[in-house]
This record gives sequence, structure tokens and C-alpha cells, in this order.
Amino acid sequence: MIIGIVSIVLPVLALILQCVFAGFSILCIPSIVTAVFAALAFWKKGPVLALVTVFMAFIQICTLNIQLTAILGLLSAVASVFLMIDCEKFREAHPELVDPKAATKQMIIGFMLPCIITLLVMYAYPVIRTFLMSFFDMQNITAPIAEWSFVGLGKYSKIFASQSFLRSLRNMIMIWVVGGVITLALALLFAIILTSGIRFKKFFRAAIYMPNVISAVALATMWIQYIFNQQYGMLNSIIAFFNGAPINWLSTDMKFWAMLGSFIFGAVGYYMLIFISGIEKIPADLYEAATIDGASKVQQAFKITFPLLKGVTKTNLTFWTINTATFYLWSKMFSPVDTEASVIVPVMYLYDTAFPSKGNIQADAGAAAAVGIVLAVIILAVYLIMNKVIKDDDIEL
Amino acid sequence: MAFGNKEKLPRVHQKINWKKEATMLPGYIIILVWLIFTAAFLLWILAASFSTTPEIMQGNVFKFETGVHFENYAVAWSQQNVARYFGNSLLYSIVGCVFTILISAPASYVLSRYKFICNKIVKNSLIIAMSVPAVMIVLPIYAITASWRNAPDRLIFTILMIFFRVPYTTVFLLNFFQTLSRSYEEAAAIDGCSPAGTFWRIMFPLVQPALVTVTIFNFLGIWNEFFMALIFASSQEIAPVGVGLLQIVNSMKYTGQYGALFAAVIIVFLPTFLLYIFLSEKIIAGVTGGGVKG
Repeated sequence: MIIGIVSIVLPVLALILQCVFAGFSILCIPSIVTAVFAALAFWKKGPVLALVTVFMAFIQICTLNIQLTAILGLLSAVASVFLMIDCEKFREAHPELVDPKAATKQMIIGFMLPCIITLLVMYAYPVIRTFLMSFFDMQNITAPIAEWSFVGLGKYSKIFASQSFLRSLRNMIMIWVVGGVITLALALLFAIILTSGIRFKKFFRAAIYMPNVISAVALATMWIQYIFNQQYGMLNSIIAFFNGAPINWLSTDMKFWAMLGSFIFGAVGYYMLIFISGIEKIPADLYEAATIDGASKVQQAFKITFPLLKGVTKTNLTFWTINTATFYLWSKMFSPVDTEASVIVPVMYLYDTAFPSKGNIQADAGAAAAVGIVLAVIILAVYLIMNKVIKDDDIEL
Repeated sequence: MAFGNKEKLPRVHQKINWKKEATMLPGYIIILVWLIFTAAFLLWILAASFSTTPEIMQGNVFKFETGVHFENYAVAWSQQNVARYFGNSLLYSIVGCVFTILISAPASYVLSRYKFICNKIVKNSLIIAMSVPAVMIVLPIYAITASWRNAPDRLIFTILMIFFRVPYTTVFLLNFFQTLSRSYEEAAAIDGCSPAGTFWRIMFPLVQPALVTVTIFNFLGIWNEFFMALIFASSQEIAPVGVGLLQIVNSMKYTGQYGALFAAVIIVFLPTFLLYIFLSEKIIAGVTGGGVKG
């Protein structure tokens, strides 16, 4: 009883203080919603409504921008949790009050709301805003929409005139084509070997996939600090063993290939798993029939496995495209302080444009947004083309 | 689709068919070369983390001439702030995993069980959201969170990580709720249990295997998050392990403690590696069986 009143009063109090000290703004809305839902939950004795209240109360902690109101917000979140327990207890004590239809409706709303809010706040609104930003010029990212000035396609022509952006696109295409061919070929090779009845299959599969689960930053550091090291690195030790001249793997000329090589090492396992799952779905009697007819393992691979793997290959290509378009971590690790042209990729260009690390460069949020849109369009285009070209109508996988 | 209830067939001990094995020799060689390379460099890093900087520079890390230097770990842990990065990552991952499940599981249940107006729309939006690259959303999110002046940066980053994992988690769980029998709900309704109560008491525990799998992926995803962390959590106090390690590498030019660097790498590498050693079967089944990106 008391807890219900407390959980209504607290957000209202927070709201009033917020309005008095900081003025009314869009930041007050979560508090209003919290108070409304707390009242509804209290009135209807609905635990699910109280759950929504808890969620809204957490959002208001973030939006209220005075120390005191934020503490009130936190208290109201705690109060809402107790309100929820209270409602549930009340319901249990009075089963005759429960109308099953209304309860179901309440549950649907309560259970869906956090998810829908996530979609709207984290995805729908940002995507639309990024799209709009790419047509505007603004001082910095946080500038309110009122201060934006329309420049049409100006930002797009700006980035496509930029040498480093073109270079980043070229690098990206290199990664997509060269890296893609090597990665998918290796992944397919491993998948075929592992599904050909080899012993210790599970162990091998797990070991090859392993780099995918460990921190890529740690993995990249291992490659850079050990394998590619000039003095004591693994590659140069092997070269020295064969009396070759040591190579500076991290020089401007070699860096891109060093980065691509180490990236491929980590990526192969994932694509291998997808290929394996595709191969395992191919009926075994096809291979038995082929073996009886005298087809070798290699022939079987070309005549049976490859044609039936179209669908899985498409999946892999889609993931590879997304992976390349959003390629960032390895570039950053290979040029940790200043962005170097040899390993620059579009996301890196975006980051440097939006958050320049050097004081003398003006941030250009509009251009950064344009880069994001270009990448999204590339992914979408590749996806649509692939759906047109590769039809997986051959087998139900 | 459901893991874990596969019946284990009794294993028949077969004699090794050497002829058959011989035809697969090239396969063995290729796989073994790859594995030996992986093992060699992991072992070298491990050995280097116990060696002094001069030893590493001369390339004899496996001799341990001056003994095993555990103090590298102490230096990395305290002086180089790894303890703090580690704690941050643990906090983000654990809180993130819990809240992602609390948001996703109910939504997923309702989406797979009940027909309502925007059911299809929400399902499709979730699938689209799963493949929206982070670069499309970070700029506006940066603008939004910049106005949350009062929220601690840690909280903001945690909330972003939760929101970031929700579409994947919800879509992953959809299939599992669909496979559950409706008779559970009917029985619960007859006993007077409310629909929401039915979910929390009966349905939620029933999908526990799927919850574990998806939580492993969420944990790995948040632990290894880098791009968002660089934007939203790059300061010393709140950086997770990925960004922290980058900072250690960058400061290496001045400190030159290579032993401690490799110790830091091992510390960052170990949690997910250990997780993988114990749960690799489940993880691999999740990647292929789930049919969604991991």
C-alpha cells in the first residue's frame, strides 16, 4: 500500500525538482512515464505494469541531470521493484480479481515494451538520424537538429573527393576479394577434411574455431608483438633458420598483408563451422553411392559437395561482407596511434572524421554519417546481388 | 534444435583401419600444421609472460635462465591497470548478460506464443536490427548519451551493451519457445496461475539450456567488444580489457616491459579461453545450430 504511493511520489518529486532547477525538457519524459505506469500498476495491481515501471525508472536515472534527482530516480526504481512484488502477492491472495483476458493483454504489453523501446531507441531512431545527418552540415555530433544546415549530397561528394577515404575503400575491397577468397577456401578445405571421417574431429574443429572466442585485441597483440617482430619474431626466426634475410613485416609495404594474414587466421574457424553444418546436412547416401561407383574423395568434393553448398556459401559470403564492411579492430591494432594509409578502412576513416584525435582537425559528423550510409548501402547491395545470383533452390538445407 | 538431450550411443571400439587413415594423410598434415602453428605461438606467448625483457629480445624464452618471473603478472595486474580493466569487463559482461536475458526472454516468449498486431513487424525489425552495423548507430547514440549528463559513463556503456545484445538474444530464443508444448500453459491456467507467472515459473526455467548458450555468446560479445568501447568507454577508469590492452601496448614504447605486456595479454586471453575449453561443444552447437550470427 505505502510502497505504491512511494513509487508514484518519487518520480513526480524527481520531475518537479528537475523542472525547477533545470527547466522542462525532453529529458523529463521518462519520469512522467514512470509516474504514470507506477500509478497504473498501483491501481490495477498489475505486476507486469510494475515491471515496466522498473524499466522506465532506470531510464530516468540516466536522463535526469541533477545529482539529487538522479538519486530520487534510483530510489523510485527500487520502490518499483517492491511494488512489483507487492502486486504479485496481492494477486495471489485474491485470485477472483484476475480476469484472464486482461491479464494476458497486460503481459503482452509489459513483456514487449522493453524490447520495443530498445528497438526504437537503439536502432530505429539512430539509423534515421544517421541517414538525415549525412545530408547536413553541423558543428559537432551533439549539435541539436535546429543548428544543422542542409548541404544535399555535399558530404558525399566531400568524402569521395578525400584521398584517405578512397584509399580506405580500396583497402576494403582488397580485404573483401583477397581475404574472402583465402578465408573461404581455407574454411571449405578444413570443413571437407573434418567431415571426411578424420579422427579427433571434435578436437580439431574446436581448436580451429578457438581464435573466434578469445579477445581479438589479445590475438592481434600476439601477432604484432611476436609473430611479426623483427628481432625475435616467429616468421623471421623461421627465415633465419633457412638463412634468409629478415623481413620487416610491419613496414608500410608489408603491413597490409601482415594485417590481412593475421585477420584471416582468426576468421577461418567461423566460416569453417558454417560449411561443416552445410556438409553434414548433405544426405550420406549420395557419398555412399558415389564411392560404390568408384568416385574419389576429390571427385566427390567437386561433384557433390560444392554444388550442394550454394546456400551455405551465400550465408558465408553475407557474413564475410558484413565483416569486411565493419572491419575496424585489426586496422586499429596495426596503426594504434596515428591512422596509417596502408591499413586504413572506411570505419577507421569514419572514426577519425567524427572523433578527430588531433586538435587542429575539425570534426565533421555529417561526413562521418555519410560514410556509415555508404557502408550500409554496400552491404545491402552485395546482399541483394547475392540473392539474385545464387539461388539455393537445389536442396532443402 | 534442443541441445543436451542427444542420446549418447554406446561407443564401439573399432580397430584402426590403417588403409583408410592413409588416404586421409594429407588432411591430417594440413590440420596439424595449422594446429602446431597455433599451439607454438600460444606457448611462446605464455613462456614470454614468465620471462624478462632481455630474454624476450634475445629470443630465448623457453630456457628460463633467470627463473620463472611471476612478477610480470603482478606488474601487469597492478601497475598497468589490468586489474581495473578486468573488473570493468567483468562488470559489463555480467550485468549486461543478466539484463539482456530479462528484456529478451519475456519478449521472445510473447512473440513466439501470442498473436497481436505488430508481432510480425517486431520479429522482422529484430532480424534487421541484428545485422545493422554499429557504424550506422553510434553517432546518434553518442549525441543522445552526451545529453545524459548525470549518468555515470559505466552505466551508459552497460546499457548500450544490453541494448546491443537484445535483438540477437530475442531472435535466438524464439525457436526454443516455439518448441515448448502448449499444455504447460493450459495446466498452469487451470491451477490459477497468471500468464506472467506461468512464464516466470514454468516456461523460463524450461528454456534454460538455450538461455545458457545465448548467455555464453552475450558474455563473449561484451567481453570482446571494442569499437563501441573505444567510443563510449575509452577513459582509464572505465575501459574494458580490449581498450585497456590497446592502451598498454601504446604505452609500451615508454615502459618497455615486454614481459608484463605478454602477461597482460595472457590475463585478457584466459577468461574466454577457459570458458571455451569447458563449453566448446555448446558454443559450436550454438554457432551452427542456432543459425544466427554469433
